[in-house]
Amino acid sequence: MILAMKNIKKFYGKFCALDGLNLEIEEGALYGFVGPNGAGKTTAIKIMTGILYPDEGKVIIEGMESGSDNRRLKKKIGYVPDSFGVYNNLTVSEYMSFFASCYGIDGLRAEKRITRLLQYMGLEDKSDFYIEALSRGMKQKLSLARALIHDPKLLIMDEPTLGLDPRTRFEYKQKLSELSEMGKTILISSHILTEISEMCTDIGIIDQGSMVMSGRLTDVMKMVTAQNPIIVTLSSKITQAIKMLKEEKNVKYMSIKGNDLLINFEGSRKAESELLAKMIDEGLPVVSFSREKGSLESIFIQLTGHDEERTVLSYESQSDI
Amino acid sequence: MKVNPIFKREIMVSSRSRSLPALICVVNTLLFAVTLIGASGVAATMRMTAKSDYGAFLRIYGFVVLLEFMLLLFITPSLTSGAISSERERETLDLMFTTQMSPGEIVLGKLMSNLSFVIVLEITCIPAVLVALIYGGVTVREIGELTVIFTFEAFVFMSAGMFFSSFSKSTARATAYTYGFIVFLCFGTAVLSMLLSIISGGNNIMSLWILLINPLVNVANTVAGQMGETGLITEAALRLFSGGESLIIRGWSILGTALQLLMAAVMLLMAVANISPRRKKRKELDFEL
Repeated sequence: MILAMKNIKKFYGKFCALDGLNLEIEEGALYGFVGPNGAGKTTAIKIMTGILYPDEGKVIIEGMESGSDNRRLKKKIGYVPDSFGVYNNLTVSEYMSFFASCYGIDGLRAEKRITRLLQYMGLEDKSDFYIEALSRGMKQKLSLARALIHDPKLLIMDEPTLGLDPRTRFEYKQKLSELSEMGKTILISSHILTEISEMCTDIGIIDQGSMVMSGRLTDVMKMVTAQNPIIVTLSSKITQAIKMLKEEKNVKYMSIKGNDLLINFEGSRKAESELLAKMIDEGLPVVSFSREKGSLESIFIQLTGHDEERTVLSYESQSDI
Repeated sequence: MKVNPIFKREIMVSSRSRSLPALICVVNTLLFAVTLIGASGVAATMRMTAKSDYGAFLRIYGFVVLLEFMLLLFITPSLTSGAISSERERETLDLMFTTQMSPGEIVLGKLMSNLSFVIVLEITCIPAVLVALIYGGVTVREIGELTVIFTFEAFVFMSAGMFFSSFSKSTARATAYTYGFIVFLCFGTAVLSMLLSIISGGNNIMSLWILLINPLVNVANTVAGQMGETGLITEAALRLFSGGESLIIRGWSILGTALQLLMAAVMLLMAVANISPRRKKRKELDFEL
């Protein structure tokens, strides 16, 4: 375990930003940290990086509790904030050199490291450029290069691809995957769920200051799929099918979408196959029968949609709006 | 020796910016203009009256150095009041906290770079002051002493700037607070001291203690001493407090410097504490919001 947050609470005045947050990240994981706006992601990230202290709970990084030897802990973490955090009046190499010296890396060692990182990020030809002359994408790459200057084990990134064009976002994602393959543990907070589902190995969903779901992405997706409706496509006899399905105790509710029947079915895979067999026995012309594929969006809405939103979603699905 | 990274960066940035040469140019133009106008006035009087008033040059010196101090008084707050708040506005302060830099090193780096800026400015002003002393009257050593006192007072102003910058979310607000505080320190304390003296009928020693933290009094006392008017503080103090020539009056410079140093140290420590990530009590957070 490279990072663990245990029962973290953080208040801003009377407002509870984090309410007993628990989070665990295995070494080498590419962890997607998602949640709606105001869920407490940035506060949690600031606590992980030592920018904020929790009011309760503890943060453990590689077995060391935060607060015990922060200088040593900070060497293990690289942080990319949602803003670039750059000095426009410095050149790219000066900026890198400044942060290198902030980590106690000076002289030839710093120079070598800066050259290597700028090359890796494709910014070597921009080293004498003032930062204000760089594009948004380049600034974000520079921010990542800066976070890697001290070769941290854990990279914590808050919405790093926000506002980037698709090409830069793709390149950025590639860099992150490469870094993950190199053995870096990466926590990435993002609103773009497709991006998270494409890249990450693990996921944590936070809402109202606490973790509502976390685990391996594949396990989460399996669970989501199991909760999705069965889509049955019929060439005809839809009314007969509805009559039959209404009598099935595993069918909770259903809706019609063209020639498709969306069935909310609670049961095992065996029960699903029995239902299919029964439909065929009844003479229903079944063209296709499958579970809707799970998406991260659906679980995200399910978990972070609050009561009113859930009511609307339920009504929508039942009334086929 | 490891150089503070912030100091190094700030020096690099200010050395290629136009603000330092522009400021040096403006300040020196003002000082030279006043010196030359004063000196030519004295020379014209000499020609008309055929009398040599060497004391007039000393008065020009006094006026020029006090003008230099007043200029410093208005320049230094603007240098440091944005030191921390501008980092906060740029969102780079959080980044520095994730590095090996401690809040103390951040404050120190900022302070050192701004202080070096002021020292450069003061050194460039020395020729303007020396012109007033064309006929002597004040030694080079005394000018050196005055430069040290000016640097010290600039350090006090900068400490106030760092303090206000450490808790203000915007540079504009921090600058306003710093100027307000410095105006109070230089003029408000004098008014307060007089009021206390009037209310107590000259029987409250606090009226002297308050005046001790006034940088303007400290500088005026030194300049007056250099001009041969050694009884300035004694006279003023006796008017405020009738308790006779106390220890405070005799050790005015040392006590004043010590008190101001203490005040600056407290403000710097509070600036460090303000920016340090720490477990905050609910009440503090309520104040922040």
